[in-house]
Order: sequence, then structure tokens, then C-alpha cells
Amino acid sequence: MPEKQLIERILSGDKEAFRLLMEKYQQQVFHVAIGFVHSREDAEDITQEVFIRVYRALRSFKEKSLFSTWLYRITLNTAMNYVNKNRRRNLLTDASNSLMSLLNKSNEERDAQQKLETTEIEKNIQKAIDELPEKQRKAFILSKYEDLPQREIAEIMQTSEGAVEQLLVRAKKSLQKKLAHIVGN
Amino acid sequence: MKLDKQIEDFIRKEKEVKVNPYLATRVLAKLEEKNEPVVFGTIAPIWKKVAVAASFVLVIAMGLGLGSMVKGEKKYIPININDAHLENLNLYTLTDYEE
Repeated sequence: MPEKQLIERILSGDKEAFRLLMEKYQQQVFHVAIGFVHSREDAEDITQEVFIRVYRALRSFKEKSLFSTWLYRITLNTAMNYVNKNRRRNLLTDASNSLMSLLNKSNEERDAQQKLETTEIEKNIQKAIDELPEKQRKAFILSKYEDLPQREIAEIMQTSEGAVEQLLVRAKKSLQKKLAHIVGN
Repeated sequence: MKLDKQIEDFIRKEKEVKVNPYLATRVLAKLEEKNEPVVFGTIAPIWKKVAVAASFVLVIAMGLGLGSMVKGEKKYIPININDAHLENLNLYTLTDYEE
């Protein structure tokens, strides 16, 4: 069914049409969300919130841009809000995890060295992505997690293609700088 | 190059995670649940009106209560008013003045 028709049906109160729309886009929204939070549960919470916002704001969608562009914008905003809101909570969780890992050190020592290293590398990459400045982070996630072309990222972020290119170059340099010690090992 | 590959591997691993197939159902249920405030919204103004009316009644009752607490003698001053002294109607009724 064409997207326009689907939206018209949703606006007339057809919830089944909304289910179809969600099923069409949920994986894309989820990919972007997981790029921000790196956790399945949190990414699902964000995806859920995104679709609730979409349902409420669908009437304000003027079709000046593609529906997917509008949806990605909502996803980026929702994900950033979620990250900012949960920053304090995550600090507390990290602290308790560190404490738990200290207490369970004897168990950890039994784990394979390879597995530990992989986890450590993943943690470092995750941290480096999370520490990118907001715009670089958004551009990086849209580019790497959704394989979107720079033109589409520029439209979503309401900026020029040149600016997106710069953001991606800076993001890459920043990651290389922060993760240089991994390659060194 | 090694670092790029590690980053790519990390992202690929995260992208392999599939969204819960029941997510759409969960969202629809949430929307149904959140529709409740719409129903509640029609009740809420009634409660507001009741609350406003109750506050008026309370203020009036308090005023009456405070008023009735005031004690003291009521002094009545007799006033004797004779309308005839207010204006001399003879000025208009006597014909002598017309000459």
C-alpha cells in the first residue's frame, strides 16, 4: 500500500494501518536507537516512544519532506532526549557495575582472556561513540547504522552535504584518536 | 585499518539485533491505554467546576461564620424626618406669588 494512502487511513482512525506503518519502519528506528544506547531494552523503549510521538504528530506531517526523513528526525530527537535523561541513571549503574565486578573478580578471572579483551574493545568503541559531540554522533549513527547517503543525512539534520561530510570526517578522526590505544595493543 | 574493522564489526554486531516482533502490538496497546485521558478529560472539567463551586461555598460559609462571631450591642438611633421641612411646597401652590 502506498505510504500516502497509509497515512490517510491512520488519520481517519485506522489503527491497523498504523501497525503496518510501524512494521515497515520499526527496524530502521531501532537501528538508530541502538546506535545511541547500545542496549536492546533501551532501544526498544526509544522505538516505542518514537512511534507514539509519530502517531500524535502525524496530522502535522505536511509531506514537504519524505516520511522517512521526518521519522528519522523524530528518532534522533527522541534518542537524544532519552540519552540526556538517563545520563545520571547510567552513572549510578556504572558505579554499581564496577563495584559488582570488583566483588566478582574471582569469577571473572575464570573467563577466557579472548572474551575479556573483546568485551573491553567493544566497551571502548561504545564509549568513544557516546562521547562524540551531538551533531557528529547523529551524522555518524545515520551513516554507519543506517547506511544513509550524505544527501539524506543532510536533509534529516537540516544542513548541507558539505557540513555532513565535515561532521563524518571529524567523527572518524575523533574515534581514531580516542581508540588509538586499542590498535597499539 | 585494524581499528576501522573493529568499529565496523562492533556496529555490525549491534545491527544484527532484531527488534521485538511484538513491538507494534505493544505500541498499539500503549496508545489504547493513553486514550484513557481523553475520556478522563471530559470528566476533569466537571471536577474542576465542582471544586470551584465548593470553594465559593466555603468562602461564603467562612464569611458568615466570622460575621456571626462578632458580638456587641446594636444601637438604634431614631431619626425623625418630616418631608414637609425638606422643601417648601407653598412656593409652588400659592397663587399670590404669580402677580
